[in-house]
Amino acid sequence: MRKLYRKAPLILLTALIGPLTSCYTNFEPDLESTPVVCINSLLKAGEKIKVEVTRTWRYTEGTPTVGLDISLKDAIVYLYVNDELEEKLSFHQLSEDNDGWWNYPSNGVDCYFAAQYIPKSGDKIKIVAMDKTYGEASAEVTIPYPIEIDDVKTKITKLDASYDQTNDTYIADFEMMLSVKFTDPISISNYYIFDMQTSASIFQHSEDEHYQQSVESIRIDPDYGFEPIFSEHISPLETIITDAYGLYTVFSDRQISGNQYSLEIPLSGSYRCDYRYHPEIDQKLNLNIDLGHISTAYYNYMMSLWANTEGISGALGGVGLGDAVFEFSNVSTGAGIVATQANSTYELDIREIVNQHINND
Amino acid sequence: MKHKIAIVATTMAFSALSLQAQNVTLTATNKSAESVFADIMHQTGKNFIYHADLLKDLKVSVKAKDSPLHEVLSKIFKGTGISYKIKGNNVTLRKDKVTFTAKYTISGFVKEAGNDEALVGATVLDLRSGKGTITNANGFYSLTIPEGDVDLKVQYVDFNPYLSGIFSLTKNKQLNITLAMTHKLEEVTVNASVNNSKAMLTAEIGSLNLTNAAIKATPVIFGESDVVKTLQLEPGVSAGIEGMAGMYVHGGDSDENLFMLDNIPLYQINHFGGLFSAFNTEALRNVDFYKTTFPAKYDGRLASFMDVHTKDGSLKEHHGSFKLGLTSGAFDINGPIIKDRTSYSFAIRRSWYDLLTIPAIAIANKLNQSYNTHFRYAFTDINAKLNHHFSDRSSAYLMLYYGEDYLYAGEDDKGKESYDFEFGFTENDGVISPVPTPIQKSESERDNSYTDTRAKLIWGNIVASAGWKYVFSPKLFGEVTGAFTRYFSSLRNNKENYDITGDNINSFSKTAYTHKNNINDIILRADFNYLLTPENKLDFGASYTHHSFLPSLGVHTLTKDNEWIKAYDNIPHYHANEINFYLSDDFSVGNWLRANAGLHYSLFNFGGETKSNFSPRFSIRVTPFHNFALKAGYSRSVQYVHQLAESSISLPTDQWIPITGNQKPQTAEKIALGAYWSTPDKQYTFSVEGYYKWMYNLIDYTDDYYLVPPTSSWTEKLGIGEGKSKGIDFKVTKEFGKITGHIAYSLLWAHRRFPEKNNGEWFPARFDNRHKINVALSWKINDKWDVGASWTGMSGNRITLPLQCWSDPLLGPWHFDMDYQEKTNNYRLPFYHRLDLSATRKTKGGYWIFSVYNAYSYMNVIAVRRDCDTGYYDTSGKYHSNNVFQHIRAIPIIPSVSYTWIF
Repeated sequence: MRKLYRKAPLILLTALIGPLTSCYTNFEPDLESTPVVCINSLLKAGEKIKVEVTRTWRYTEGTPTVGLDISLKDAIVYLYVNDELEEKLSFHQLSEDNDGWWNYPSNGVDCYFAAQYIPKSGDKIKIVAMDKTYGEASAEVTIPYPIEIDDVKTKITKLDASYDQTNDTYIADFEMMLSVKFTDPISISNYYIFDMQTSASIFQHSEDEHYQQSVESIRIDPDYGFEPIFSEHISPLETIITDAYGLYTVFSDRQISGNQYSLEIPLSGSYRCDYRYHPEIDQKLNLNIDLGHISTAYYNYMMSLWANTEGISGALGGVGLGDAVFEFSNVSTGAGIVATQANSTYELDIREIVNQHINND
Repeated sequence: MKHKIAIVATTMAFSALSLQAQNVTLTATNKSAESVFADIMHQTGKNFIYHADLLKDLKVSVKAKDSPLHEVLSKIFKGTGISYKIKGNNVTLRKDKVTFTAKYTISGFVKEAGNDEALVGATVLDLRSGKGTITNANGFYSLTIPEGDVDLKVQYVDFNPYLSGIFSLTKNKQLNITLAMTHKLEEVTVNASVNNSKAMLTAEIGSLNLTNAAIKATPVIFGESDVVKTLQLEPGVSAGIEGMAGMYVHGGDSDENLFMLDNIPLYQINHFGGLFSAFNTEALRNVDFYKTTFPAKYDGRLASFMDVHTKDGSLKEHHGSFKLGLTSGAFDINGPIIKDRTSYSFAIRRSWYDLLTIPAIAIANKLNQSYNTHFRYAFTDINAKLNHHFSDRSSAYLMLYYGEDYLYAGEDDKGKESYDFEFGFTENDGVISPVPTPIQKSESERDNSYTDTRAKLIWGNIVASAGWKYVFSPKLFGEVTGAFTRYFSSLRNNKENYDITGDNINSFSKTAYTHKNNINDIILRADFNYLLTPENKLDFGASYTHHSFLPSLGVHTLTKDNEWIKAYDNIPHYHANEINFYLSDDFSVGNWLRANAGLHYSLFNFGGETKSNFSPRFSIRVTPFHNFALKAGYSRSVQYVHQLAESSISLPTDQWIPITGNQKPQTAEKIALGAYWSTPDKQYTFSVEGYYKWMYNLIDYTDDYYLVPPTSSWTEKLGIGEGKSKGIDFKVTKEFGKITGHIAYSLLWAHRRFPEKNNGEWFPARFDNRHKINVALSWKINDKWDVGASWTGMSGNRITLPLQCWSDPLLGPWHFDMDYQEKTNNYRLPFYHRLDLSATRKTKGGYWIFSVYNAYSYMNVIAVRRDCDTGYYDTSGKYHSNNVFQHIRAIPIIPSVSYTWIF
C-alpha cells in the first residue's frame, strides 16, 4: 500500500473506471492448445548439470505447486558437447527423506535429470529431451568465459561498533560504498549478472534443543537501485511506477562496451561475533562478490521476466490495454530456457575492512 | 446522356379547351415552373415536352393579361438558358445551345448571423440556372453564372435558408450572406444538409462534416461531449478501448489519423490516458472528416484526416458560456474588439478532479501518522483566437492552443516511523500464523530515517498560428499560414533519503530521473481555391515544415553524500524538413458527372537523405438518375512520422519519431466504391461504401521489443511490415425533422504481417471489429426538450491470450509460471454493446444535459485475466487449485449531468 502512489499513472487512468471493473466472469476460451516439452536449466562453468524436463499445461489444468504433475519422468534426455553425444542424463527424484523439504524447488517440479559431465567455458552444449506423449525439444548454448573482477574497493561511510565485555560479544553495524571494477571485453556483446553472498553463519545449539544460537553471523543489505546500469532496462515511465529497483542485477555492455567500468553499490550491514562458546571463530567473515558472464538467452529471459512482471508493457498487456508480454525461450518448442553462466568471484573480509577503518580513525 | 434522358410528355386532355386558345392570362411570383405550365396548359391545351431536369428548381415570376402564348413564354424563359418551340399542339422546351453569353461571378462568405462564424459546407444555389457550389473551410463561395436574372438560395442544416429573390447580374458581385439559426421547431424541416450535399453532389467518398451541435448531441461517458467519440459512431471507425477517445479507421492504427486544429497538425490529442480528446467542444465550430478518399490537400497519414475549425468570434456582440460538468468545467467567450472589424474568441476547459482529491488526501494525511501522500492530476485546454477584417476581401487571424496534462504524485515520511510491530502467534487448524500488533513508539524510540519521493509529469501540446485570408478575385481565394506546433512530455522523478540524528544529517542520497520527449514543427503553408469555370475548380497549395524531434532525453542523477554520478540516455535530437505540394481539379460535366483528380507531392529530408513520394487521388461521381449517385475513388497516402506506443491507451511516453535510415515511409493505397440515394425530399440519405486498402512499410514494435533497453535506439525495437484491410460501410441518415439520426453498419477485415511478429504469418489487427452497428437518434420534443440515444454493437477487440504455461526456471526474484507464446491476437473478446441516452433541457439562461452512459448497465468485456478460483481437495485429501480464465467486465451505468450557462 505504501508504494501505491508509484502506480499513479495507472491509478489515474482507472480512477474513474477502475472501481467499476470488479466484475469477473469465468469462461473457457474456445481455443485449442497442445502441450509441448519444456526444458529448463542453468548451466554454470565448472558445476554439475541439472535439467528439468516438464511439459506445458493449459492454465485451467491446475498449478504445479498445488498438485499438478508436469514432470516428464519417462523422458529421455541427451547431452551433446561440441556436437558429440556425451551421455544420456540420469533421472533423479527428489524426496523429503533424502533431500529434505527445503531442497524442493518452489516451482513444484520434484525431479531433474543430471549429467556426469562438468561443463567448461567454451563448450557448445546441446540438450535434447524426448517424450513419447509430448514430443521432442532441444536447446543449444555455449558456456561463456568468465570475466574477471579487476578490483574491489570499499569505503565505510558509517560505523557503529561495540564490544560487550560481559557477554564477550562484538557487534558492528556499518554502511559502505562498494566499487567493483571489471573490464568489458571489446568486440563482442556481453551480458552480466551480479550477485553477492555472505559466508554462512555458525550456529551453536543452546541447551534448549529447539533453539539455535548464532555465534557468528553477517548480514548485508545492498542497495542495487543505486547503480544506474542495473536499471538500464527501466523505461522513463517505469522509473516512476516501479518498485523493483535493484531486484534485477542483470545488465548489458551497451553503454560500456570495451571499457573498464566500476559498479557502485552502497550497502549496509552488520555482523556479530559471540566469543563465549567459540573463541576460535575469529576467522574471515566473507562477502563473496560474483560477476557472472551470462548468455544472451539468459539476459533476454531476465529482461522479458522484468517486462512481464514489473514493466509497463506487462502491466498494461495483462489487463488488455496493450500487447501481451511473453517470457523469452531458447528452446525449440518455445517453452523453457537453457541459460549459461561463468562466474568470477572476489572475496572480501568484512571484519578486516571494519578493523582497518577503526584503526585508521 | 442518351441512356438517362427521361422525356416527360405531359398530355393534358383538356378537350373542352382545345379550341386553340392562344392567349394567356397569368400572374405568378416566384412560383415553380411546373405549376405555371400547368396553368398555361389548362388555358391553351398545349402539350409541353421537356427534359425532367430542365425545370427542376426553376422559379417563375410573370404577369400577363390575355397575352399571346409566345410572349408569355419569352418572358418566362428570359435569361434562363431555356428556349421553346411551338409546333402544332406541342411546345418543346430545351436548353439553349452554347452561346457566348457573358458570365459573371458572385462570391463572398456565408456566416452565421449573430456571431459571424463561417459556415463550412453551406450550399449556394442559383435557382434560375441550376448552378450551385459549397462553401469552403472559411465559408467562402464563388459561383459563376450567366448574365441575367439570378435567384440565390443558400442553405445550411439547422439554419433558415437565405433567399435572395430575383436580381439582375450584370457584373461580378460580392455578396456576404448571413444565415440565422432555426429556433422554431416547425422551421427545422429545411431541405439543406452539408452531408447530403457531400454524398449526392461531390465526388468525395467517406467524408463528413460535424457541427458543434451534432457533437454536443451525442451522448458520451461522463457527459463530456467529444468530437472523437462522435466520430466513433461512424461506420468504419473503431473506438478501441471502451471509454477512450480512440480512433481506428478502416483497420488503421491510432497514429495514422491526422488531427488538425485550423489546418495545423496536433500530435497529442488525448487527456487522461485517452479518456477525453484534446478538442474542447465549446471552442470548436465544426469538423471536417475524411476516412475513405482524401482531398489532395491532405497527406502525411494513412487512415484519416480530421480538421477542427475553431470559432472565430462574433463581430457584432459578446457571447459566452460557462459549463460545469461531472469531470470538468469550461468557459468560453467571444465578441468584437472593434465592431465589424476585429473579434476574439477564448475558451478554457479544466478538469477539476483535484478539487476532490486535494481535500481527500489532506484528510488521509492527517489521519496517517507515518507518511504523507501527494497526488494531483489536472488537464487544461486553452483556445484563443483573434480575427481582424481589413476589408470584405482581406482578413487575418492569430490562433493559440495550449493543452496540458499535469500529474504530481509522491510520498514522504513524516520524519519518523511512528509504529513498531510486536509479533504474536495464532494457531488455526494446526497452522501457526504470525499476528502483528502495532506498538506506538515514543518520540525517542522513533527511527531517524526520512524518505521523500516525488514524481511530476507534464505533457501536452502547443499550437500557435497566424494566417491571412484574401479574396484575390471573385474566383480566387487564398490563405497563407505560419504556425508552430509542439508536443511535449516531461517526467521527473526524485527520491531523497536522509538519515538524521538531531540536526545532523548522517547520510543523504538522492536519485533523480528526468525524461523529455518533444516534437516541434514550424510550418509555413499557402492554400488557394480557384474557380476556373463554373464546372471546374482548382485547389492548390504548398507547405514547408521543419520538424525537430527529441524522442527521448533521459538524465539520471545519483547523489550519495558527496559523490555524484550523472548519466544521459544516448538518444539524440533529430531534425527533418518536409515540403509538400498539391493540386487538385474538381470538375463536372452537367449534373450527371463530377470528378476530382489531384496529386500530392511530398519531400522528406532527414539526415542528409531526401525521400519523395507522389500521392495521386482520384474520385468520380456519376448520377445516372435524380437523387442517386455512384462513386469510385483511389487514394494513395504517405506517412513520414509515426508514433511508438507501448499500449492502446495514451501515455506521456508515447514517442513521435520520423522514419530513419533505410526505413521507407509508410504508405497506403485504397480503392473505394460508393452508392448513394437520397429520398426526393432529402429527408433520408442512404449510402453504401466499400473499400480495399493495402498498407506498406508499416512500423510497429517487434514481439520482443522489451528486450532492448530504453537507452538503445528505437530502431532496434521496430519491425517493418504490411497490412491490408477491406470492408463495407452502410449508413442511413436522417438530418431533418423532429427526429434525426443515423443507422450505420460496417463490416471490416484488418490484418497485419511483420517478419518479426507471429512467426512472420498474417494476423488479425487488434481492432479488427468484424461487425459494427451504430444507431444514433435525436428527438426534438419541443422547444425546451431534446432527447438523444445511441446504441453501439460490435464484434469484440482482439487480444493475444496466453493459454498455456511453462515451468518457472527459478532464475528471477519471484516465482511465476511462464506464459507460453500464442498466435498474435488469437482471441476475440465477446460482442460489445451499449446504449447511451441523453436529454437536454433548455432554460432561460442556458441548458442542462442529463446523460446516461451504458443505460442498461451491461458491463462489457474489456480484457481477460487468469485467476485462481476456490480450490478443492480430491479423495486422497490432496488440494488442487482451480485456475480459471476470467472476463474482466467494465463500466456499468454512469449517469452524469452538466449545466451550461449562456450569456
